Amino acid sequence: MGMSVALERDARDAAVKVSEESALVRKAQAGDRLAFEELVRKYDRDVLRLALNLVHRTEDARDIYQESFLKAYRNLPRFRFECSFYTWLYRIVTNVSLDHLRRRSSRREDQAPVTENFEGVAQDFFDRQPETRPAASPERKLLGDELGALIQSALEQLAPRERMVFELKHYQGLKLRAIGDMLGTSEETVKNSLFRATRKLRASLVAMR
Amino acid sequence: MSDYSNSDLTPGSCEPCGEFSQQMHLLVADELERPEQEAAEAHAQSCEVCGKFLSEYRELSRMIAAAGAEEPSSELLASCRRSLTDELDDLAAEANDSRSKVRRWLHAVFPITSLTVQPVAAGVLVFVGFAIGVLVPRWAGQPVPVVSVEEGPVTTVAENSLPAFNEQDLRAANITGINWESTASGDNPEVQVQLQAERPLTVQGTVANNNVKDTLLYILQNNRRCGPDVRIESVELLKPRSKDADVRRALCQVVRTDANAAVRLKALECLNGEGDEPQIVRQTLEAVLVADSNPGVRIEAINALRAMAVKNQVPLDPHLVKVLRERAESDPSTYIRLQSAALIQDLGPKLSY
Repeated sequence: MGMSVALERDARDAAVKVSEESALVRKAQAGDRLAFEELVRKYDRDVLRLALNLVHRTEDARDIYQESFLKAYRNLPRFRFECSFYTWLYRIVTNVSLDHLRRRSSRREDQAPVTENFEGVAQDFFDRQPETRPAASPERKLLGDELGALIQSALEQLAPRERMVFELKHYQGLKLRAIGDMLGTSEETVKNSLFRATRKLRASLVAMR
Repeated sequence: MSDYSNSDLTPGSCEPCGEFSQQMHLLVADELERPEQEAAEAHAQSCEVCGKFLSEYRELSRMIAAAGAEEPSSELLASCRRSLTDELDDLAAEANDSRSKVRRWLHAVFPITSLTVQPVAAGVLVFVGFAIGVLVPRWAGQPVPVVSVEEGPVTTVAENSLPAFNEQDLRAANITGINWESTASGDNPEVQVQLQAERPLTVQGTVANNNVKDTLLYILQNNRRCGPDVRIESVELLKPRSKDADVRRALCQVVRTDANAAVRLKALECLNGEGDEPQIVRQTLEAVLVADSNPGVRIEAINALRAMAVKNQVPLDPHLVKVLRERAESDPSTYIRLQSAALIQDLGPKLSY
């Protein structure tokens, strides 16, 4: 009984949130700049996190952020409420990020010179810069450095789309159906990409031992 | 720390048996419904190959979780937001430019058409406007509003008038200055905003009048178009209406984006009080604390946050606590470091700096 009341309340709260967001989107579509900025603030941390984890370079992540929101701003009048604003925005972000990843993999020779650290793990120019971010706590450093470098290196071996699916599933915690909506493809295709990515990742990690 | 070398990941590690292959992958990805999940787990317990696969796969997930996602720093987020705001400003300016270019081009290409059509269209518009202005209030049983047109070419949009101008007029005009006079009561000064355009316009009235308020808001929202003196006057004049949601949002925008520290400080001062949307104000103060290069503005921001905390308008948000810890450790200003630590204590006795 108590559970069903709580579920009803959650559903009601969710409906209110959706209708508030729709009102905000409509205002932004009518040219209300502040409404658009409110939408940006609602989702931009997630967008930046996704970009940062995909490209691992502050400047590239910044470019993806900027390009995605400018595209959203320009195309907002064409948004027809056929899906949630979040899904629509993420569709833009994933497309922009995929373009970035593809461009990057086709221009590997243009990248900053790669060196190796004392553990023999490849590092590029940006990796070698001193870490000043607050997220760089000693615990994270201890936990993440070796393992993070290995996983990062294994992720680099994946095709852009596989990497995107893996990132959205494991780091953004999205369901496969939602990922399919964002990437404009079926749940089945996303499933296959995830399986392929996982197999490759396991194989890479084993090979790196 | 997860050590992959101790994991079960070995070369040639196994794949699940054909029938349950997909189920095993979906089980670890948390994509199965309860009955399917139970069936897959039961199978893994009875099938050695699938059981081994499952434990390998779970180890991989544990490693990925231990490596963790990289969290963007507040500075990076704030700087991305600032660049985006600048880009949007540029887009708006370009849109204005292209509209006036098209208008000029039309005038150049079709001079005769304009000459013949414009007077007729203007006449029709004047007649329709007059009819609406006179008849509608009569039907509604209200007095006819006063839109005073002074001698000469300057139009004055007076208090209580129907909206005689819109944002388009404001975009096409230059705001040349703001004059104001205190009234006897002292809290609602009489304001005059002069707009220089093809047809000069003066917007006049107290800030209680929506035309005046909208003009002042326009100045704040398009802060690159006016000098800092005009912007600071606008913020000051909007203070009596700082509880209105739209005014609070515009003030937040000023605090985040205005290039002049004095204007930002004045806007912060106006936000400091009762009003709607405490969440947006709180986010603004948080962003200022992280990203504003002016220590005076950051000091006002931390003071305002503490004032909000006293009124229970600051929830125990982990991100805010993280920002405060960061400030308490690394802000160049001693005052901000101390106040940030004090605010962490205000927020919850369980949190310790």
